[in-house]
Parts: sequence; C-alpha cells; structure tokens
Amino acid sequence: MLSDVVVCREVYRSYETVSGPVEVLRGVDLSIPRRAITALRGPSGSGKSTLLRLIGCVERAESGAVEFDGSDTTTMSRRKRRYLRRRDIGVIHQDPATNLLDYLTIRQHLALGARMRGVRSSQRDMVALLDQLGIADRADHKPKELSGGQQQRAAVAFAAIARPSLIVADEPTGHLDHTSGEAVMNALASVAESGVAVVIATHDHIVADRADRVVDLADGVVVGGRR
Amino acid sequence: MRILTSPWWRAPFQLLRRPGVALSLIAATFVAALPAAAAPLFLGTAQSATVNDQVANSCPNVSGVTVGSYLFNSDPDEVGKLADRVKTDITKLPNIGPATTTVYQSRLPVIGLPKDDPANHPWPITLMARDGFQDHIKVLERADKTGPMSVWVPDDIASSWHVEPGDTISIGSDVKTQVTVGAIYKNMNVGHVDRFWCSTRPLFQGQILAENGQPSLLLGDLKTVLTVFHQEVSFSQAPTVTFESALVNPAPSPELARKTTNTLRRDTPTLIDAFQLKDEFGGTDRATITSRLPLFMTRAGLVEHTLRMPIYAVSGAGVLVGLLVLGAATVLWARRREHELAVLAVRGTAPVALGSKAILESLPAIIVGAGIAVLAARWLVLDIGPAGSLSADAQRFGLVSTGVVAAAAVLTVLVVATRRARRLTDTTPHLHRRHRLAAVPWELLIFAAAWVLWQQMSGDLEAQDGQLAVGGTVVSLPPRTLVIPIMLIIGTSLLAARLVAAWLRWRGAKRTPRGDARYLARRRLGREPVVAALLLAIAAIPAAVAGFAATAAGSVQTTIESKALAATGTDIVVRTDAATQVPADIARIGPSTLVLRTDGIQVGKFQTTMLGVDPEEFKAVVTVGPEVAGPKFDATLDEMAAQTPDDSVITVLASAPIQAGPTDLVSSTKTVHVNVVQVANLPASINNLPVVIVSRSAIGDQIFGGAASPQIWVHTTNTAAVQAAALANQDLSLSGISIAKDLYADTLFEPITYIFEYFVAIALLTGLVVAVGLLLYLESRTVAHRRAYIMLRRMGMRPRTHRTALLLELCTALGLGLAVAAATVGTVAFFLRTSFDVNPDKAPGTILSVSVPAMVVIAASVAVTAIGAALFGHARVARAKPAEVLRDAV
Repeated sequence: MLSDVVVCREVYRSYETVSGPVEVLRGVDLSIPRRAITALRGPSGSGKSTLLRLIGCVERAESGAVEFDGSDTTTMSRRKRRYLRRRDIGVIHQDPATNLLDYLTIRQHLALGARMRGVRSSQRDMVALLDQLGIADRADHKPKELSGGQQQRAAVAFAAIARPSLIVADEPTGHLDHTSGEAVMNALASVAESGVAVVIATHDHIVADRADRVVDLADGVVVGGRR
Repeated sequence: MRILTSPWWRAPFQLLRRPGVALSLIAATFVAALPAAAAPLFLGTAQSATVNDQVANSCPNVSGVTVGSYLFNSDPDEVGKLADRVKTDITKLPNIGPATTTVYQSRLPVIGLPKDDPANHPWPITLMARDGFQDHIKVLERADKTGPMSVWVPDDIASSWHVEPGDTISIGSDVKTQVTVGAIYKNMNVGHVDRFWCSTRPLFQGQILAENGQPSLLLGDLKTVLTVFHQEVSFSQAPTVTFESALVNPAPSPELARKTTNTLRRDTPTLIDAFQLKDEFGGTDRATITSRLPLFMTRAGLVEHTLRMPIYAVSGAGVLVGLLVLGAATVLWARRREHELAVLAVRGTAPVALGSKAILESLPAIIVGAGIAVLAARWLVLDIGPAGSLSADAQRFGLVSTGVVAAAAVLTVLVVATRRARRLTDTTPHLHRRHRLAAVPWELLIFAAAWVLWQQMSGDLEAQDGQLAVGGTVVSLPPRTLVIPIMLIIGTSLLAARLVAAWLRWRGAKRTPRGDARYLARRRLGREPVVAALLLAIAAIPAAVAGFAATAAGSVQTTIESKALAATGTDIVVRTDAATQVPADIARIGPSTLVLRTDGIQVGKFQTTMLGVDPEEFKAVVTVGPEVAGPKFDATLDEMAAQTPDDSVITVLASAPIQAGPTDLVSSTKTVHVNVVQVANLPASINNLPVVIVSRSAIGDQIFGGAASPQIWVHTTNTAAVQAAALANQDLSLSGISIAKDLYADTLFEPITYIFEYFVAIALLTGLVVAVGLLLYLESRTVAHRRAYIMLRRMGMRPRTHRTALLLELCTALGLGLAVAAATVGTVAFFLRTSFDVNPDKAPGTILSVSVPAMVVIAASVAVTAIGAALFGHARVARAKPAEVLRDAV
C-alpha cells in the first residue's frame, strides 16, 4: 500500500467576487500517495488549480482539513506553512516562463533550490538530475535560451532538487506540443519513481493516462476517478 | 557561486534592467528628500539673511565692536601706545577688523571769534580726531602752509568766524592752545553723510549742541587733539576715546556671527581688564565694550523660530507626498517583479525576505535620489533663498534630515514590498471584510483632526524673544494657516479620488461613449478605478499645495502692499516746505499731483487730517481704489472735480467714523458747510484718525491758511528716479520722502516673504510629482497597452486613435485632479482669508489675490507633462512587435 503524503478532508474554499462569493471547492476528500503521479482532471472552473494551491500550501482552505504528513496545514501558522513549502513542496506552473528566474542559469537554479531546502547539493547530483530529465547539456543556459519543453523540464528539476515530499504541477504540459509534453511527463515520472508524490492538474487525457491515479473534479466536488 | 545564485546578491544590479522603475524610484526619493534637505538650509539662510540685512542697514562699526572710555590721561604718547595695544587686541576677536580710533570732546570753547564780536563770547565746539577722517570729507579750501598743530574747520563756522586757511585760532579755556586752520571742509550738519561718520553723527548733526544753535565740528589729527585736551584741565566732562571695529565679513554665516557673539559675551569683562582701560584711562569702571551683533543674532534666532513651524509643515507635507509616490513606485516594482516574487514565495521565501530584496534593489536608486536632492536643495536655496550662503550647521542638519528621509524611504519600500509579497501566498478567504474596511471614508478623520488642530494651535501673528523682546518682534503667519490647509488639501483630494473611483465602478461599465478613442480611454480608466483615482490624487495634492502657496503668498503680499499704499496714498510722497506745483523733472516720471495736507481740521465732531487735492489728478495718482475705499470713491471724486467755489454745498470725501451728510468743516481760518460722502478707508491716515479729502479749487485756498504742508504724490514704479529728482531740486526745500514699498521692507514683516520664497521652491516639485506619477502609471500599464495596441491594430484601428485614447486617458485623470485642486484651493483660501492679514490693525483687510500666472504655470506644466507622457507612452507601445507581445517579453 502507498503511504499518503497529503490527505484532504471536507475541504471548502470560496472566492469573493463583484457579484458575490463563489464556492470553488465544496467538500473535497482526497489523498495523495508517495511515489506516484496523481492527476486531478476536470473542466475549466472545476476547482483543480484551487485544490492544487491548497495542497501546495499556497492558499488556505476555508474549512475542512488539508493534512500534510499527518499535520493539518489549514491551522498551521504562516511560518510553519512557509517552512513546509520551502523543504517539502515543489511547484510547477503551466507557463514555462513563470517557473524560472530569467537571470539564473539552470545550474544556478538547482543550486538555489538546494540551498533553500538546506541541502548542499553537489555538482554531480545536479548533473545527474538534469541527465535524468534529458537537459544536462543545457545546464549553463538561461531560461530564455531554452525551448518551452526544456524550460518546463528545467522547472521540474528546480522543483525536484533535494528530494521534496511533494511536487504540485498545474497543467505542466498545457503550453507544450505533444513531444515536449511527453518529455515533461517522463521527467515527472522519473521524479515520482524516486519517492516523490506528484500531483498534476490537467484536462489533457494523454497526461491523465500517464498518471498512476486520476481524480475527477466537477463543480468543486470529486465526482470519480481511477486508482 | 553563492553570490551568483542568490537573487539578493544580484538585486542591486537587477534594477538597471528596469530603467523606468529605477527612474521612478530615484524621482520619488528626490521628491521626498528635497524638502527635508532644503528646510534646514532655508532656515539657516533666513537666519543669515536677517543678520546680513541688519548689519547692512546699521552703522558698520556698531555691528562690530566698540570699545569706549573717558580719557582722563590724555598724554599723547601714552594714549598712542595704548591705542596700538588695544587695536592689536581687538583684531584677535573672530571676524573683527582693524579698529578706528576716535577721540573727541564737546563744549570746548573757542575764544576771540568771530573777530568782530565785541562781547568776545566763548564759542562751543566739538574737537575730534578720527583715523582717516581726511578721506571722508569734502575739502573746500586748504592752507598752503600749516604749523605743527592744525585743525579743519567746517565752512559754515569758518564763514561765521571770518577765518581762512592759515589763520590761527585759540582753543581751550585754561591754556589757550594755538592751532592753525589747516583746511575748510563742507559741513555735515544736515542730510546724508558718508557711512564713515555714522557712529559719530549725533555729535555734529545737532543733538548735543542743539540748545546752543549751530553745532560745530573741528577735526584734527590725534596728536593735535590730544595736545589740546592735555593742556585743558577744567573739563566738566573728560574727553571720550572709542575704538570702533567693523566686521571683516559683513555677511557672516550664523556660525561665525555666533562665534563672535559668544566670544564677546564670554570675554567682555576680561577684555576690559586686558585692555587695561581701568588703570590707564582713568581708573574707573566706565570702559565699555559694545556690539549690536548679539542683538542681531537674537533677532535672527527669533526669525528662524517663527519660520520653523510653517517651513516644517510644508516640508513634512512634501516628504509625505514623496513617500506616497515612493510607495506607489514600490507597488510598480512588485508588479514588474511579480513573476520572480511568486517563484520565490511559493518556494517558501518569507515576505520580509522579499521585502529586503526590494530594498537591495532600490537602495542604489534611493541613494542616488537622496544625493540629487541634497545637491538640488543647495542649488535651490542658494538660488532663490534669502541669502547667498549656507551655514555649516544647516548643511549638517540638512544631511541628517536627508538621511532620516532616506531611511524612511527604505522602510516604506520594505513595508510596501513585504505587504505585496504577503499577498502572493497563504491568502485567506476574508476579502469581504477588507472590502468593508476599505469602504469606510477614513479621509474624514483628516478633516476632524484639522478641526481639532485649528482649535489647539495658536493664531498669534507676532512673536517676540522672551518677555523683554530683546530681539524685537517679528510678524509671522500662524502655523495653523499653513498646516490646516495642507491637511484639508490632502483630505479633500483623497476623498475626491475615492468618489471618482466609486463613480468609475458604478458608471464606468454602464456608459459606452461614442468614438473608439473615447471608448478605449473610458474602458481603461474604468478597468482599474483605484489606479485612476490614485493618478487623480497625485495630480491634485501637489497642484493644490502649490496653488494654495501661491494664493496665500499673493494675498499676504498684496494685503501688505495695500496697507503700505493706503498709509502713503501712492507709491512715493515727497514732502516739501515750499512747493506750489509739481516740478517738471518729477512730473515727467509718472502721474503726479500736489496735495496740501492739513492736520487738526474739525469735521463735525471729529478731528481729521484734510487733504486738499485736484480731484482729477488725484484720481490718477492715488493707489487706493474702490476695492479699499469703497464703491463711492471714484464717483465722488468725479463729482468733486465738477464743483466750483460758486456751488452752495461743497462735497467732500471722508473716512469712517465721520458720518455722511451735511456738516461744517472748520479750520483755523475758515468754516465751510460741506456735504460728506462717507467711504470705508482713505489714504494717509495717521494714528487711525479719519481723513477728509477736499477739492482745492472748490473749497478755496483760504481754508488752508498757512498751516498746510505741501506734498507731491507720484504714482510710479521708478521711485528711485523721483527720489533722485527731489534731492537734486534745490527749490523744493525738501523735508522728507515716504516710499510705500519701504514701509514694510526690512521690517518685522520681512520673514513672511522668506516663507513664500520657500513655498515657490517647493511648488516646483509639482510638475515632478505628476511626471513621476505618470511614469509609474505608464510603466504599470505597458504590457497591457502593448497587447491591446497589437490586437487593435489587427482590427484596423489607426495609431492616431490609440494615441488619442492614451491622451484622453491621462488628461481625464489629471484634468480631474486639477479641477479638484482648483476647487480645494478656492474654498480653503476663501474660508481662511482673514488669516492672510498679518497686520489687522491697519486698513484695508485681506485682499485675496489669486496668482493667475502661477495657476497657469501649474496647469500648463501638468498639461505638458500629460501630453508628453501620452506621446512617449504611445511611442513605446507602438514599437511593440507581435512576437514580443505574444511572449510577454516587456
């Protein structure tokens, strides 16, 4: 049996809009296991990205519980949640350009990421990770010098350096062609194999097919899925 | 590697990649730091100017040091030695120059003159020796040969005595010393004399010997004079010796003046001993060391004290506006760095750490902005300040103030950036509560605070140095007259911004204006109402502060000038003893008229001053118009011009409290039945007594008798020419000249003008604040504008339409800001108008003066900035390439 990194219980979240509050998540129950890719699937507005932000400790749930390794993050202090993000969570956004700092090379990104997690990552570890993701030859390039697929794989490397417990990826292949998307999914799969829990928001069937688990969301509630 | 990978280490260099942001931060820091840097410098120069003006207007030797004593031992050799030693000691004082020795004795008798005086009465004279006197008198005749002892005799005395150069006269009552008349000089009994003589002027211009008729000053060298004194033993009073030293630097800095003053205060008792005046000049305690410099310093300190609060109030407002703009610039920074901040924040970087990154990035810009502010403050204060030098203390204080503001700027950046970074992560669903808080019109608190402060702050117009008023009294605007308007302006502008934002939210989405440009502009303004409202406030606040400063300055100045003109009646009044008409050389300079002034005339039950005028000429010359005298003034003068002596009732103008209606006008020579037309104020009143103006031709010359004082009134800006012509005219028998503008110049009202000079300087920031605001606005919108431009171009929109839209977008916000500013200034100035009268005891009251040129300059600078920014913004947007737009690589 796979141990769960994140467990969501009856999670609610709403947003204030000009026309009044909108309930985005309405009692979501979910668990994210280690060493596996979990795909959150659903149409636009179903609450995938919001759920990812709650799991990734970027936002706080309005009610319910989001447990990370057994601790409820909804009642945690800001400092503890920040510590959690820093040490145990990697985040990948849909747009490749928004995952990286344009003035650092990929190697420098990995050094920064490792240092932020309090780990002195050796050059050999970095090269090994980049080699695993197929971009070792681009280590000394800046993001603008890479293709979209390479940028997204570099983002995977940046998120995965120093072995976090969880990586959340919001439509990581959304801006990429099929080949590049395939490369990114391979990269995420290899990261998951190393023991990291990976959760992906997507409405792409191909991506969902590559996931170990699929959770279907609609109108802020879990409506099904595949184990 | 660590240095290269850390975004914090790289931060100072990253700012260079965003020149717009860098420029905004530099300009915002400049706006905040300039008032802080300039205020101490300005106060220092105001102090310097006060000292300098007093020194310039006083006798030079008196402003330095004067050592004086009676001279009981007048042995020429001993006195000579002592004088050398005293002079040496005096020059050791800081900023005190070489001393001039003066020895004199009044009431010395000259016997046997005039030669034809059978009674042989002693003729009292003043005998004086003064270093270098020969170079400061006009010699009329000089003897070919003189003996070892000679004196110079004034021409009037020489004429009375019937003596000529080379003649011998006897001075003294005991041993009559024989001296030769070495020269005859032009006497200095009346009128202007060389400044060399200013400290001794009372000796020969009548005060001492006034009861004995013509004063007479005989001059001689030190040896001659001391020899006469040495031989004269029956002095009723000992001769006097003074050592007078002027300041080496007649425009000393406050530090130098303070050093001199402190040295004098500390060392005066010991200096007297050191000069051995007690022993060698007679063994008494009568030796004194005096200087007016300490008094000047006290007054300068008082002036600085009265200016401090208003200047700090204005500067504080400037700093706050600058920090507000800096906060906006930091918001822009956070926007432009949003992606980077998000990358770091979601990976667990603390908001404070991101705030510190903002500090590291902005620090070079803040340092540069503060540095430029320090240099600009120096230039500004030196250029338009009241004095041309800066004191070291003020410069030090200015640097400290700038440092404090720079620290406040750093804190502002930290707070704003941290708050923005905090919003990136860990958001909680309580926005509705924040919305409710934001809906509270907290600007009203500013109005409440203004009302409380108005009640609490003093409205005193005069300030004096302690109860004894050693430094005199100075007039100043009460601080509340400046502090409260600034608060009201800020409150009103923010409230207006809130209302406009609310209106844009309400109506912005509902109305669809015709025309692409107008539609685009409206949509853009309505899309982010808060940003548009902020732009309005950024234009309104500095423009209103500058406008109020100009209005207050103009009103106070106009009111003071009106009071001066009401006191004299016109620009310059020449008082004579003999004029019967205006001399041609004066008439050529400007409109002029002869006025016969007679005091002590009875009108009804009131004692008045009567001015006999030619009404037509008088109307062209008098500077008191209907706005001061009242609406009947001009019409009554016209009526008086048409009257003749044959009329049964003569119409006259009279000021309150003389009642309108028929009454008798009684002089010492005649009584005339007149009809009084009462007006509010009439010129040339003395001690607030009422004035009556009569037509000379209608009332007849008999009413004046022989008591009238002829005056020539001239309406001209070239008062110096009138003064010169009057002095040169030998037939006028001049008895005095009054110039309106001199009534308030260099007086207790002068510090007020200093405040306005500072106002003008600070007002120059208006354009800069607006420019920075626009720069921030455009920078924050560049990405959106570029996207929109490319799409609209694809849809067939012409570049001109986009340019017009941008122009409308900016001009609407700024135009509204200017309108709010104008309305606020008008309202505040109207309600505070009584505060602009710094001399309420004198008529007229406040005359509100809206400085149209200043307003036009403010409006024009805002308009030019808006147009320039729109064109610049459009040019930047129009350079966008489609690929660039699609990749968001702005």
